[in-house]
Amino acid sequence: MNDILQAKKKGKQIREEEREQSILKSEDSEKNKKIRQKDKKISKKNKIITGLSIATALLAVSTVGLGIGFGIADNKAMQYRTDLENSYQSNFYSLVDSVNNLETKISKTLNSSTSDFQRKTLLEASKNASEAEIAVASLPLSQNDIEETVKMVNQISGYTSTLAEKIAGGGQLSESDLNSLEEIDQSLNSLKHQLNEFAGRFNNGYSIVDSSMDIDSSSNEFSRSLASLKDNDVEYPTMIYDGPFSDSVVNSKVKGLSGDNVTKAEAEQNIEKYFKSGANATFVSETKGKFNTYNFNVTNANDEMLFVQVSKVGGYILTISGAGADGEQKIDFDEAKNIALDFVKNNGIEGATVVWSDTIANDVYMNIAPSTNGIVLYPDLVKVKINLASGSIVGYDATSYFTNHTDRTLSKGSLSLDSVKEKVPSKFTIVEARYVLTPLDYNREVICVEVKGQDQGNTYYFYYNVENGNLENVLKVIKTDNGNLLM
Amino acid sequence: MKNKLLIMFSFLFALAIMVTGLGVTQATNIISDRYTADAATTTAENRTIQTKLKRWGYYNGNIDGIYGSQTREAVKYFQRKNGLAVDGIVGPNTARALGMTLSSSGSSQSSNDLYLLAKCVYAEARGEPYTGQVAVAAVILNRVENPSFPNTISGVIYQKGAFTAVTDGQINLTPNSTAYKAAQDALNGWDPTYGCIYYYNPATATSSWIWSRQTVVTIGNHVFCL
Repeated sequence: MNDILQAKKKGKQIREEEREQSILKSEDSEKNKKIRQKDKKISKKNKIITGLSIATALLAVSTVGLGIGFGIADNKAMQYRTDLENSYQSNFYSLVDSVNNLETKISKTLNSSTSDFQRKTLLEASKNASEAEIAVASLPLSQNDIEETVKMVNQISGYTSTLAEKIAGGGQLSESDLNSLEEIDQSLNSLKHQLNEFAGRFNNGYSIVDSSMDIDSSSNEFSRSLASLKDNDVEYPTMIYDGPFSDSVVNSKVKGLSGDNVTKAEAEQNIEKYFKSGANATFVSETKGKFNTYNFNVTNANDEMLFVQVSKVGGYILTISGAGADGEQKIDFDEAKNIALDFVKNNGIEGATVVWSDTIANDVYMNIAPSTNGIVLYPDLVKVKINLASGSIVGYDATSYFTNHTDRTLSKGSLSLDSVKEKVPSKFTIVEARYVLTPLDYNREVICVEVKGQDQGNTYYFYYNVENGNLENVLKVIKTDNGNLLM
Repeated sequence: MKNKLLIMFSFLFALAIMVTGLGVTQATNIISDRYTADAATTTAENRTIQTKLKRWGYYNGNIDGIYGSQTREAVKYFQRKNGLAVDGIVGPNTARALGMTLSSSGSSQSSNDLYLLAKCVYAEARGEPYTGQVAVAAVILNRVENPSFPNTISGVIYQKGAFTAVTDGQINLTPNSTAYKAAQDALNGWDPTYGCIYYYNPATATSSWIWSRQTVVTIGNHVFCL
C-alpha cells in the first residue's frame, strides 16, 4: 500500500517536476524567442551599418574620383591658361618691338640725306608696321577699342611703301611728305612710350587672360587700358595718298550712275521687264549706303529664289544673288554666254564681251566688259553667274560698272600688238594679245597691251603700258579644285 | 527589406559611378574637343593611287577613283610595308613614297581661303537666306581690304572676339554646299552690302557700340553696317 502511495507520490512528483520543467521550458522558449528577436534586431542593425558603410565607402571613392577628375581638368585648364597667357604676352612684346622699330625707321628716314637710304628705311618701316598690325590683331582686344590703332599702323604701312615706290620711280620726298612723316613720328613716339610703360605691368604679375575674360564687354580691362592710349595723347596723323589702305580707296564714289529716281513700283516693273521669261517680285527692304537700292525677293520662271537690288537712281539692276540648282546640265557654255550677254545688253550696258569665265560645278561665272575704240574696259566689269542646270541667271553684279563707268577718250598709243609680243619672255607661247584699260595702283587707270602666254601648262597675263612699253603688271592663273584664280 | 537595401545600394553605386565618371569626362573633355581634319585627295589622284597600288600588288579592287574601304586597306598595307605611319590616308609622306605629288600640296592657297570662308559663313549664318550668307562672306572680305582690320582672311576670321562662332568653336563644323557657294560668290566679287564691315543680329547682339554704326541693309536676321 505504502508502495503504491509512494509510487503515486513519485508519479505526482515526477509530473510536477515535468510540469515545472515544462514551465521552465516554456519560460526558456520565451527567453529564446526574445533572444532570437534581439539577435534579429542586432543583425538588421548590422546590415544597415554595413550598408551605410559600403555606401560611405563608395561615396568616398566617388568623391576621390571626382576630386581626381576635376583635379586633372583643373590641371589641364591651368596649363592651357598658362599657354594662352604666354602667347598673349609674346604677342604684346612683339607689338612693343615692332612699334619701337617702326618709330626708329621713320626718324631715320626723316634724318637721312639720300633718297636711296630713305627708300630702304621706308620699306623696313612698312614691314614693321604690318608686323605691328598682326600683333595687335592677335591680342584679346575689342574691335571698338583698337580700331584706330590698327588703322594707323595699316595706313603707315601703306603710306611708307607708296613713298618708297615713289623714290624707286625716280621721285623725291616732298615737303608735305616729310611733314606727314614728322606727324607720324610724333604719334608713334607717344604710342611707343605708353606701350613700353604698359609692358612694365607684366613684372608685377599682370595677366592678360584674367583682365580680358569677356572680350567685347566693359569688363575687358586690358582692352580699355590700351584704348585709353588713344584718348591720352596719341594724335592720329592724316595720310593723304593713293595706295593700300588709303581713305580714298575705302571711300570711293559712284561715278557711273545717272538718271531720275525711280519709285518702288517702277523698280518692280523693271525687274519684270529684265527677266524676260517672267518673274514674281516681292519688296523686302532698302539699302542706304554707297548705292541706294530697293531690294526684292524674286522667284524666276524656274522657281529659283533670288535676291535682287535695283538702284533708286535710274532703276538699274545692280546685283542678283541666288544659290543655283544642282542636277543635270540642260544648257552648254555657248548658250549660257548668249543668255548672259543678252541680259547685260538689256540692262543698258552696250558693246560688252566675255573677257573671263570659269565653271564651278553647275555655275558658270562670266566677267563681261564693254569696249571703247577696241580697248577693253576692265574697270567697268560686270559679273554674271549662269546656272547650267536651270539655264537661268542666278548671279549678277554691276556695281563695278556703275562705280567706275564714265565717258573716256582713249587711244591705243604707238605700241603695236606685234611689237609687244616680242617683249614677252621667249619661253612663253603667246595665245592672245589685246588692248585693255586696266586699273592699277588703286585709283590709276592705264591703257596696256595684255598678252596671254603659256609655259609648261602655266598661264600668265602680261600688261605693257602703251605709252612707254613698261611692264606694269603680271597675273598668274592659279588652278584650284574650285576653278581658276587670277593672282 | 532586403530588396530595399539592394535598391539603395545599387542606387548609391550608380550615383558613385556617375559622379566619378563626370569628374573624369570633365577632365578629358577639354582634350578631346579638338578639331581633326582628314587629308583629301581628288578622284584623279585616287585613280593614280589605285593604279600604283595594283601594279605593286597591294590592291585588288577596281580603278574607279573612289577612296573606299578597299583602297584605304591597301594604303594601310602599303604604309605598313614601307615603314610609314599607318593611318590609311595619303598625306604628303605617303604620296612621296608612292612617287606622286598631291595637287592640294601645290595650289592649296586659294582653296584654303575658300574653305575657311565657307566654314565661317556656315558657322555664323547657316540659318540665313542665301544672300545673307553671301553678305557675311562679303563683310569678311571687306574687312581684309579695310585699314582698321587685319589684312588676310584668316587674320580677320580669327581676330579675337570678332565672330562669336569662332569663339565658341562652331567654326569647326563642316560647311554645307550652300555655304561654299556663298563664299565662292563673295570671292568672285559679289557684295550685297556695298562695303559693310559689321553685321549683328538685333535680337542677340551684346556689344552696345555696334548700335551706333550706320546701317546699310537688313538681310534675314542680320543688320549690316559701316
